[in-house]
Amino acid sequence: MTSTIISGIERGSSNSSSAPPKALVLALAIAMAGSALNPHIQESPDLRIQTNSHDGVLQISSIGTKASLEAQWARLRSRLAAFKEYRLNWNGEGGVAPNPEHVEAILQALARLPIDMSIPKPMLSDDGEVGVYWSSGNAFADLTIDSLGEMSLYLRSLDEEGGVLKVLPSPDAIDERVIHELSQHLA
Amino acid sequence: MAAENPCAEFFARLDRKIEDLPEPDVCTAWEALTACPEHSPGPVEDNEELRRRIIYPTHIDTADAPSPVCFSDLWSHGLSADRVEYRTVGQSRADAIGAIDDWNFDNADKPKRSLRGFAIVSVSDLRRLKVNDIRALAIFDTAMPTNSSHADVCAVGRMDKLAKRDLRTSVWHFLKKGLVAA
Repeated sequence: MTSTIISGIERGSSNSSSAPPKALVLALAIAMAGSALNPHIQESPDLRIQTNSHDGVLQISSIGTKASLEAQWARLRSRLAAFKEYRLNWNGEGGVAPNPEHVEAILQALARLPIDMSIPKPMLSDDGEVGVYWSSGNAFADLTIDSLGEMSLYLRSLDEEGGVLKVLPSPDAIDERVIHELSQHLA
Repeated sequence: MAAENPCAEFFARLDRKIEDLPEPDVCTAWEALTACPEHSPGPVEDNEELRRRIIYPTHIDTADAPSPVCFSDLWSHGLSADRVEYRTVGQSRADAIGAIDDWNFDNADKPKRSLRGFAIVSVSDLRRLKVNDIRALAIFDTAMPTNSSHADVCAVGRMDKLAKRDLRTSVWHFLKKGLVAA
């Protein structure tokens, strides 16, 4: 039997209890439409939709089974963790090895994001900067820690010339406000 | 005594560092010079396009698209590209495959590289990019005897962390938009 769950952000920013009834109705309609269109979803035991009702605007950032989302996050964590094993000249062009502590800090930061947030892609620069990035339409964001150990979040609309950079003193700085801002940006 | 062609001298050095380039206004003057007068078609014009090779896995992320951090050559020794007007795609492909084969032979212990495609980007788009109202990129004619179409794209001027992030994201966006199959 298909069980449809409209959830708030599990580990993150908003509380779905404040979602306006219209938003919930719309989310249900989308869930049902998705189920009808996608047999895989219809058969899923746990269809999970994130609603984010800030400013009265319904946003759905990620749709999928909880198990499949967890698997995707696990793959991302695995890719990032593999960077800890990289050594000098990892790319054959003198690439600086990422600091394992920096990789761990990124993993800790990601653990603070809600499971149903858009899943980013890992990235590693040849100067040792490590992190992840999101790209959705004109919305771009990256969360990285540079070779000096400074973590920062960058938000950019690609149709504009510049973005916004937030320095994060520690993974704990990924709080509800930052998560909300990132979610809004990527929506 | 000033060098006769400082641009050519700079790019002839194997140990060159882009951070050693002069201020942006001097770089603009260098853009009118040519690195190899006997082979070059002349300085890179605004109405030209560049063809940049995209190599797996160096430039590629998990979704098989160019990664935002894969073009750090802009800040290290210059981002190499071919001038589309002066190099056929077949020549660019042969150059790339030859270089990749050599690299794979010399680095048998590392993941094998392959040619994923090319990114075509407009010179004027790149030259329009600014940081704090100052041009962020210079594009130099760095023709070589074996490749008269060779050009280098380099970051110029001092940049703080936000400016670098803006620039690399803009360049990534242009290159990603211009991606074509090899």
